[in-house]
Amino acid sequence: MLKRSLSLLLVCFIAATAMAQSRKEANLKAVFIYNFTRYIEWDSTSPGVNDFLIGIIGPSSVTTALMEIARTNRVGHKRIVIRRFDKPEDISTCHILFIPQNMPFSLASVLERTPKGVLTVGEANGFAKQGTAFNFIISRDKLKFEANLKSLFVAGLKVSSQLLKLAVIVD
Amino acid sequence: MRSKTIVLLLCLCFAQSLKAQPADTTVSGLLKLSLEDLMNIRVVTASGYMQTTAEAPATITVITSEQIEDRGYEQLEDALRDVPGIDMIHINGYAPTLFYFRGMYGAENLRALLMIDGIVENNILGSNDLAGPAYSLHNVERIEIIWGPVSARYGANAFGGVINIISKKGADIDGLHLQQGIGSFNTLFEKVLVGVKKSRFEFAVGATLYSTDGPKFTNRDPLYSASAVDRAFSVTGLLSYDAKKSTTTFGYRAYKTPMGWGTYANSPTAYLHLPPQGNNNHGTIGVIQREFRGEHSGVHDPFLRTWFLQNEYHPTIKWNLLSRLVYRETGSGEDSYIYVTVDGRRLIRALIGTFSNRISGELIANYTHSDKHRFAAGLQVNQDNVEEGSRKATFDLSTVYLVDGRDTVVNLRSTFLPRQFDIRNNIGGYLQYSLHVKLLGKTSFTVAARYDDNSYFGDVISPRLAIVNQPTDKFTFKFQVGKAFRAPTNLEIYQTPPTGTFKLKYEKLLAYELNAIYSPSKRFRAQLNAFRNELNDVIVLGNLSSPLTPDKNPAIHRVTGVEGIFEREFSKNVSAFMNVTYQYAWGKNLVTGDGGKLPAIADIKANAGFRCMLEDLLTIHLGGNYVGDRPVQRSNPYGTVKSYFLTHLAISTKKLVKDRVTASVTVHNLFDTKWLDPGFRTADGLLYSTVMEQAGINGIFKIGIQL
Repeated sequence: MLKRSLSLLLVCFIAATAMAQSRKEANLKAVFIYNFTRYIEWDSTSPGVNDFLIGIIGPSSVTTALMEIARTNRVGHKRIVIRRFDKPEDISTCHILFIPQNMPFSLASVLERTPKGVLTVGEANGFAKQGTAFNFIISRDKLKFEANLKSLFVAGLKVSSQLLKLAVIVD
Repeated sequence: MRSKTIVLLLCLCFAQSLKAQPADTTVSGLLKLSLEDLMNIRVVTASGYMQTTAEAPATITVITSEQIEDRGYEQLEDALRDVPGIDMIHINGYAPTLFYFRGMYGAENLRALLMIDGIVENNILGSNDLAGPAYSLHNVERIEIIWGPVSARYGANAFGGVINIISKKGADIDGLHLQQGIGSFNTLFEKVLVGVKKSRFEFAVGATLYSTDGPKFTNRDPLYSASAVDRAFSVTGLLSYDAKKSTTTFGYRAYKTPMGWGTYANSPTAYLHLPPQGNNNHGTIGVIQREFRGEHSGVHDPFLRTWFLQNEYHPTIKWNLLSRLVYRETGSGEDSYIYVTVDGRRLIRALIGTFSNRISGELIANYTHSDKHRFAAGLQVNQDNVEEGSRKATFDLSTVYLVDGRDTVVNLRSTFLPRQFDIRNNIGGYLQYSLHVKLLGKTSFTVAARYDDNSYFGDVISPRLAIVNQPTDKFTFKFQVGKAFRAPTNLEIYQTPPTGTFKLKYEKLLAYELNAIYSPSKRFRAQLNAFRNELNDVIVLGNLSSPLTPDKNPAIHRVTGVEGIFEREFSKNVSAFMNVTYQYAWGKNLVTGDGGKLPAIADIKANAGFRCMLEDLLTIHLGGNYVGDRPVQRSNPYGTVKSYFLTHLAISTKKLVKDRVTASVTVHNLFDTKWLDPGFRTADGLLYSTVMEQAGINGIFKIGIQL
């Protein structure tokens, strides 16, 4: 009985730790995304200039954290608005498009419907090489991000060298 | 057994999870962290680190704006005091401080470049003034000190190091900031900073006004007032326009520091019928250091003005092109003068004035081919219109004036003669290539060389090699070797005996450096630097050994040293730093064969600081500087100057009253320690003092308002 209780406790603890880790990772990614805005300049003629739009394709645990940031923070003087796109066809103009790991669509279908001027941010191995501008990866237990310089250039985004210094550059 | 294993596992999990959790991983907690800090948070519970260790192929010390605030640094000298590798002589006027990088004594303030936003700020003529109270740090985003020879990049005079001040831009300032300070010695200053970024335009304007009576060294004269600074000011301005792929900036800055001559020379105690000032100094020859004839005892009034227009162009993410046009004017204002006596009976009022200007153009290209290959190239063209030494003036020793019925003074009606000048042209070009490979972890090789062709001293090639190895994320090892040169200044050129075609040679430096850095996280760094500087053809200001021969490049210097640096951030609220330097500086005059330890360079120095933040309201910084015994010139009868330890305290508030008001108190020399600096130049007690007295306890109270 004692063994079973301890085993159950261990399982619960591991599950709780994993959930906490997952939440922490989501919070971290959201805060990273918000920090990116300080180092990138978008063309001020982009539509939707009154708000700063962050789109997310499909469901993601990062959405909650981003909404929390949007409630109390701004990008410059712009209010942050979070938009969820259920499928690639729904993608409209935004400043940042977050592409979760578990989305049920091909990355190519998402990227080909993403307008110019949008910073695409992925979170799966290989996404940056396949064309997202930024991509979160875990390296040695910590969150890092890759940058695809070509994608950034094609998107027409001006990125501070300070930010690129921290990125893992992929071609 | 299995139960014990499970219990053990539970304990391990619990302990590990505690260890792995940063203090606050909520969104609001994480928002307080920088991107670098975020990258150091572990997202799974296991060992290992990821960090952004400095990969720069040089040894760089960075002083941030937060450190400037927390440590109560008001001017550049305050910040440099806590850095390892810089020796100082405080004249409390004139220069007003002499800085020596890594034991390279001599050539007062001429073996280091001071730059602001990448543009050289040193006096064009090569006089000794550097920094001073007008160089306030209120508009500074950070100070970067690049150690060692970097002539391969910057050309002449990037000898001991480069101090690059990065100023705050409009977006950093974002509003109007006012500071008012009041302190010991009737010190009073005002500082203004205004800046904003709006759409594609960004502007920043800063200004300061500073006055002080300065410390009183009454052993020289009970009425001593030669350390006064009278309305020193600075004005800086930047206006930028961001186009789609480029940023164009127009900038202006001006610094003017009318001040006394401090303890530059002895007090003429014989003339003043005062007891000798002590410390084996004579009182026959000297410079008056009290108010005289209703004016200051003397004024040294250096001014430096810079206008520039630059464009940073980013055609693609891989290319970065900088083009820049700069016009500068520097010199000593024509209101500069000094009262000097050479016989203890009559004072001579001598005028001092210089004016030089420079126009320069620069083109720099950086190309990142890939993560593996990086290239940089640059071309720089200067034309200097530089005064032929100090301006000549009329000299009348025959008309004697009586002052107060007793004091006799001559040359009161002196006027400047027409300015004589030389045109000096310099063209320099450099190339740099960096190769980054996965060898023994990560390794980069940087090779660079610069070619300079100068209309006075001819051509120079300055090569440089740096190898940076990071076997793991925690460790960095660097090896650097490079050559640098210091151009003879026009002041030095015109002090050489006039012997036809004789030309001064430039000073040469060959420097080696090894660095080992251990940094397991952004919050801890331990660094060991070992360096050796070999200087040849060292220029001597007054070649006492052989004044009748034109050999003014008679000396060699050898400096070998080790620096240990420790920085630790215990928590957001508590941090500390410590650095220790051991160096052996030796020199020899090859004309006379005399040699020995270089004066004014301590074998051992150490600096330490401890910062803690109380209740998110007050930041307290306690700092200390130890300078060991310092040898003196062979001509100096005083002997070794004893070691000292000074303590400084800075207390500052966080932003109060709706985040708009701050206040701070900074106390220097908290325990009122008596300390001396060695004299400079001949320091034989005749004209130049054997030692220089220094200020006791003093402080500043400052209040800041943000609108």
